[in-house]
Amino acid sequence: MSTFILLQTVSKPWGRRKRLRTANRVGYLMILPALLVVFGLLLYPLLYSLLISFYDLHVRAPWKGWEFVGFGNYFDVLTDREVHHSLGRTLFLAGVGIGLGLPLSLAFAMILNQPFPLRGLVRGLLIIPWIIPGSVQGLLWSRILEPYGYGALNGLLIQFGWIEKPVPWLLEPMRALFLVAIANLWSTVPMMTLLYLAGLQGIPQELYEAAKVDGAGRWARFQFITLPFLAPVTLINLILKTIDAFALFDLVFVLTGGGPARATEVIGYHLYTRAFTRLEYGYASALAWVIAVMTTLLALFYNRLTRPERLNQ
Amino acid sequence: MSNRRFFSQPRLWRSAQRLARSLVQLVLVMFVLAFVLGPVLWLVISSVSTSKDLLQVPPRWLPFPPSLEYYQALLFGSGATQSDGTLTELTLRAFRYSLRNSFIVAVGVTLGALGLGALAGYAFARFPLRGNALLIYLLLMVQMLPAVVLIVPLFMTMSRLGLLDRLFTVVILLTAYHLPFVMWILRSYFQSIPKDLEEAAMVDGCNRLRALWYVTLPLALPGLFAAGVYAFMQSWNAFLIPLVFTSSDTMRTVTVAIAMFVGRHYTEYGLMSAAGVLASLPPMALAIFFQRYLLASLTAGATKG
Repeated sequence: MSTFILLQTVSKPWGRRKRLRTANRVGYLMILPALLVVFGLLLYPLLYSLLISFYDLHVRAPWKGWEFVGFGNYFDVLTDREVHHSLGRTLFLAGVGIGLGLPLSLAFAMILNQPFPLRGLVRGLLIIPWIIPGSVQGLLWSRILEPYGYGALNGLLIQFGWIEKPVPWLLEPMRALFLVAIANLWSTVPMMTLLYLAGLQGIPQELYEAAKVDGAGRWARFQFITLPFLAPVTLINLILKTIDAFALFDLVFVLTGGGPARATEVIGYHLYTRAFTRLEYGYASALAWVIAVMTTLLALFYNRLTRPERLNQ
Repeated sequence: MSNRRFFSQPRLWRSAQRLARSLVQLVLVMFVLAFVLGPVLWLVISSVSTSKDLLQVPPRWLPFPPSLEYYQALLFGSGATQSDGTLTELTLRAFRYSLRNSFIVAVGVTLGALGLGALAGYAFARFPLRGNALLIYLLLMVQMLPAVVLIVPLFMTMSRLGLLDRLFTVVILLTAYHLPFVMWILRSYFQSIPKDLEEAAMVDGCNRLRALWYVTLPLALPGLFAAGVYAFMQSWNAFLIPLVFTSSDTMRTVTVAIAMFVGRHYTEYGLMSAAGVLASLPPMALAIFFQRYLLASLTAGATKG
């Protein structure tokens, strides 16, 4: 408000309201370009896809024009076994990311929270997997999981004599999905670790000392101080991980192409194939809205957690 | 001195304990490092192996001396030297194009998002605009949507406008997609800068834009760096939007080019790996250079959305 108090003292008293309004007009003008871009390229398409989702566009037979089908597309989406399966795979990825990823990243954070030489450097290295583009991650894992024995995993196992013949890792559906989850885990665990590290730094040290004085052991201190303090970070990681699974695309595209036999076709990839391989725009838009609603619910929950008071000012 | 007496001295016992503990710590840290760096290391190793090394079972783990033939082929090669002839000159040229395109896209998006985001973020921070908070909230929510949700209507619109297969389209789409977050970071930065300085400048006769440009922006430089690094990385790593909105080999960005590469030349292990390393280098260099700011924007992403 001090801007306006100052303006008031500078300008004549009766000019204040006008001054305020012009100031605000400048503000709106400054926002305008950003709003145009965002409305034109984010919100408008979102609404447009809502419109499309009620039509069958007949992309393959354009002479038929648009045909209104009401909630037909939504009905198709919700009853489609392929959607159920790809949703299941997506949730499986999120589940692995949470079930394995949370404990692992918590453990990593505990390890890196101890003092040791070059700690700053090691923590800095944690962002490397996040920096590497998703498609390069796909390439990287295809180099590791390579089926002929030239890759790192087969190579290591043969080197140590644990297997004799190379294993085609990505050939069996369930295993392929699990390995995609692991590959995805590799890039998300370091990120979650960084968040946990930030969380660990927020725990007042006096608590630990007080607990020690009261005779609490290592495990008790972890259980009753560390874990409760990290609960918000855990929740954030959990939600972000789930949203991530809905957005996963490039890794799958390069590593498995959705195969074998669609075993790794996650929901985003399914939407992509429906839209751009089968050209079912109406159906894809309905599916997009279903995904949008699900992720928005998650995002709302997330925003509620992270930003309680800042926006209400 | 017997062993027992050696250890019965409390100080020595304690230092032995400390040694053991730091050894355990060392092993654990090594484990974390192996998890994080192991996969990358394998990509780097493959990229500096010779084709003979790459076709051994088990692989040659430490190819020495490292060969830079794949990097050379990717950056300068004409394709003729490749032995099996599957690699045409076109593929190598397409890769070089894609590197250039990624630079154009990433720089374009960074500049666009910073320019628009700074103006809007500033206005959101300084003016009591109506619906201000709600609007930002809404934008951040939209941005949390996976890009795949928006892709169909955008594709239809762009194809009707005849804007497919152009870098410009990729740039504006990615700008729009990352603008809300950039705006958000900058807004909180501007809020942390006291208004007094720019007010003084305005009393001295600057208009608001000049005050913003000469007084506030220089102070907000860390925020601009944080947001800029974020925008550059996100747009360099973008995949789906460049994939859908470009189609010719000369318009692909490097992430998409690599995906195409893996599809077409799966057995060119070394060349693919070198391409992957090259594609990761710019964001990596940026991260090293701006590490402080990057972490700032990441934690902003975690704690503020």
